[in-house]
Amino acid sequence: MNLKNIFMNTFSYSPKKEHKFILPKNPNNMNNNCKENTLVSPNIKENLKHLKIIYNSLINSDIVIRNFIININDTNLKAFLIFIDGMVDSDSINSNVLNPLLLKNSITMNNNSTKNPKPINFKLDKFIYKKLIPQNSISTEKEFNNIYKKINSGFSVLFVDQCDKAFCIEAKNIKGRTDALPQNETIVRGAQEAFVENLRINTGLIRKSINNENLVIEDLSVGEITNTQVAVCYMANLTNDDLIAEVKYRIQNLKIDSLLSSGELEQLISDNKSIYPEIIATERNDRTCNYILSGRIAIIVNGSPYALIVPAVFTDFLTSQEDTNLNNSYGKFLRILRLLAFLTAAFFPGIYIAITNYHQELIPSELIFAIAGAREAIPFPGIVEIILMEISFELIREAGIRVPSPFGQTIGIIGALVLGEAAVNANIVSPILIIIVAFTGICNFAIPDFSLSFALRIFRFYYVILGYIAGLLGIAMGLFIHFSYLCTISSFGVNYFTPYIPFSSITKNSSYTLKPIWKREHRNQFLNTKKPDSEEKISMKWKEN
Amino acid sequence: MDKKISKIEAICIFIMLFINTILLNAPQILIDNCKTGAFLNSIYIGILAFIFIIILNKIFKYFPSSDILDVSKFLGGNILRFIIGILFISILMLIICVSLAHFTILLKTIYFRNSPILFIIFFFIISAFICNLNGFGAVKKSICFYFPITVLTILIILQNQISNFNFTKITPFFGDSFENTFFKGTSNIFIFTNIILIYFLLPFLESDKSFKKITIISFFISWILLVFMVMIILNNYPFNNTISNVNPVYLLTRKVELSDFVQRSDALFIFIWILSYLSYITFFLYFITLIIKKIFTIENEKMIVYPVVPLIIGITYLLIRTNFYKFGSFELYKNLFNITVYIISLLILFFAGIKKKLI
Repeated sequence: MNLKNIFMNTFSYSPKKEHKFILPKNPNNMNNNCKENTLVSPNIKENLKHLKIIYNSLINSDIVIRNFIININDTNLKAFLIFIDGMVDSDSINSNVLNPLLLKNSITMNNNSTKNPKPINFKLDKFIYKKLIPQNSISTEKEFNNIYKKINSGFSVLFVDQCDKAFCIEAKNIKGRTDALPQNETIVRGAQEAFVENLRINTGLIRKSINNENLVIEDLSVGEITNTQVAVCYMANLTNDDLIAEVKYRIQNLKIDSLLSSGELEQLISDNKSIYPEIIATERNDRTCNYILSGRIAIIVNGSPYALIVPAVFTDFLTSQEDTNLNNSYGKFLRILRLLAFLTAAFFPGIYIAITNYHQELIPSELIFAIAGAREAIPFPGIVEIILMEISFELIREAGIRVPSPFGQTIGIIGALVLGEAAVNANIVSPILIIIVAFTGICNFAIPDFSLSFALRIFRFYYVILGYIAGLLGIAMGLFIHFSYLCTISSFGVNYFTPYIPFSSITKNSSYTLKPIWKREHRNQFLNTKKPDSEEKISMKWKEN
Repeated sequence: MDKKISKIEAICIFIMLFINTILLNAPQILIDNCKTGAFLNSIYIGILAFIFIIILNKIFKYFPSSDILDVSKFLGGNILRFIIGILFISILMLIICVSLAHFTILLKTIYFRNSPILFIIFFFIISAFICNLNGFGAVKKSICFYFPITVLTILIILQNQISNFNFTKITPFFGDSFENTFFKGTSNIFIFTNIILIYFLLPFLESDKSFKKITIISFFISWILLVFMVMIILNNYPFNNTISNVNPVYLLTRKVELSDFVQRSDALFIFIWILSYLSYITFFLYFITLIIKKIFTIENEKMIVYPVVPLIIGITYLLIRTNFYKFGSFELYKNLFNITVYIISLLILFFAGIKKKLI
């Protein structure tokens, strides 16, 4: 040991014991034992103790337990109210719960009580329920498991001594957005209203648009830990009963700990684990209502501003709500344009590689000379050039989403410079390739569904490679396998290419290009709705008169 | 439900199979055999095939929802079913292998001069293999999906050539001789490959009642297409073209002018025909597995495709390497097809019908 070490060991600071943390393999779970106690006890102390343990009230800062005494028939009864701060409306609690309970404490059970006294616990729960709490939504619960769910979802729960029931009072006020504009499905003509993270606001929006008693919004709970509320919305007089049962069956049979978003639920209830979207995810209320009215089912997850629509077919992902709001000729044009965009986004780079490598005779000589001239100084083969550019484009796109918004423009400038001027000037890529990549990118953006455009972004690379390996033969092979794979996909029992493939399903109102609104008489036949027609044969009766 | 075929789908499949036969080499075979008499021969064998289809319709009435294998079992038990199954497997294998050999050679000649032939074969077989693994639903949907565009290519060719049509080019109508056109030419009936489908169609149909309509409508459309294609090819290439590997239908596409932007559109046609041809071999591959499944009573038909695929690759490669695909295989296929499809199967149906009546 040298002198320096002796000096350092003697005079420098060193911790007495190094801190080491090892994650225990079998953590003891105290709360599990407490959960065995499932029924509310008439002894309020037991209930209080139980809830304090369950909710770790000593360390949980947002669990509020308010103890007080209420006087009923000259008898003081202990009571407490438990709720989660931040999830309830304090004003409502004060005025509709605490105020009546504390200020009306001299009220007797009924006016004749002095003449005919009754035991205090006689129908105590009914008395509190009917006379003491002027709140519109109250339920009584006996089981603690249900009480936990209520507290966790924002209810305030009242316990009263000598009463073996708890009063679950709905006075929710969960902070969050109450209204929002569509961010990802913007349209020119139509409602500028989108879903938010609050389930009840979302279901309220649907109710606001569909004023009909047949609209059913069923609440289900998913997740052992999170108990996330999931609302299943459908029209009881339209939607196929088997479809409703299937949707509920799938949601109710999810054995998971947590569900935090509709994206997770989408993956959990999809038929196939395919790269293509099988369920429509929309943030628009009007689009959701449109689908519900066509006989489909909307699923909304609490905490997620997206509704899931089932079943979905391929053409649904190429449509936008705007199509139906516009004159049908505009709608038709837009839909055909999107189909072309889809095909271009998938095949254009691959076909470019195939043609330039194998099938030069397809394009005019002048153009092929121009391409050859532009590529003269490029040291890489076409495949390297195009993959390089596509990856750069994808990176810029990804960075554009992740980057903080003040830097967003910078990414655009860097992207434009790198992709455009600099890459061409440095002879890394040819100008024609910039056009191809940019055009493909634009076409990709024209696809309304994010998941579908994502799938195409991946498949584009496959087609580029196949086009390079075997020209149009490679692309044909890729397309054939790709299509046969798509044929295996179904969404809640409906084939992905319905109504076009199989041909037997081409029926009334199944056209991808829109019919005029007065000719949209039938609902999609593949949905097997209870009411196949959506309007009368002559919908514009005023013309007949 | 994916195992069933609707009326329209059945017609599409039936026609699609025949279009592929046309695109591969059917009109050329007629022209090689009958010279300018091919035009009359195509009409003549069409009438014969039509009579045959009517007979099949009559006999299959006694066997609802049954295919030829079920009928064979009814007549001669498992042994007869096995023999018939093997015969049909051989025909289907030959159809796939010979057509694959022709098509890959054509592609090699046109685009892939430097690529090994196995490379091209693999492209086709892997696609057919994967599609088969995806099940019958994927197979039938693929055929239906590519049907409209394939028909469109045929119509474009016909439309493009019809204005140049000169009747004198298809004369003399009897070709070499009357005998060649009508007596020897009878054997050309094997051109209607899609007739095989009739023997296996009934169990797939949603309703037996549509059987007659499907077979007759689809046969008529196929027949019309054949007659027109023979006329068009005769008009352009009236002489024997067997020596060159280039398909005459492909040569016709070189004459198609789509617009100024597309200089030569043949690559586009080839692209669509590759898709169409892929669905064709996929369909026959499915039927091979189906027959094997039935005669050996195997539960999972998807597993059968694994050993069949290497066999097809091997046979095709052998046919090409030995040049048997060009000369010998044709006669073998023709005789096997005619004997099995038009004679043995018909006799089985006939006797099975009598047996059924007696019972």
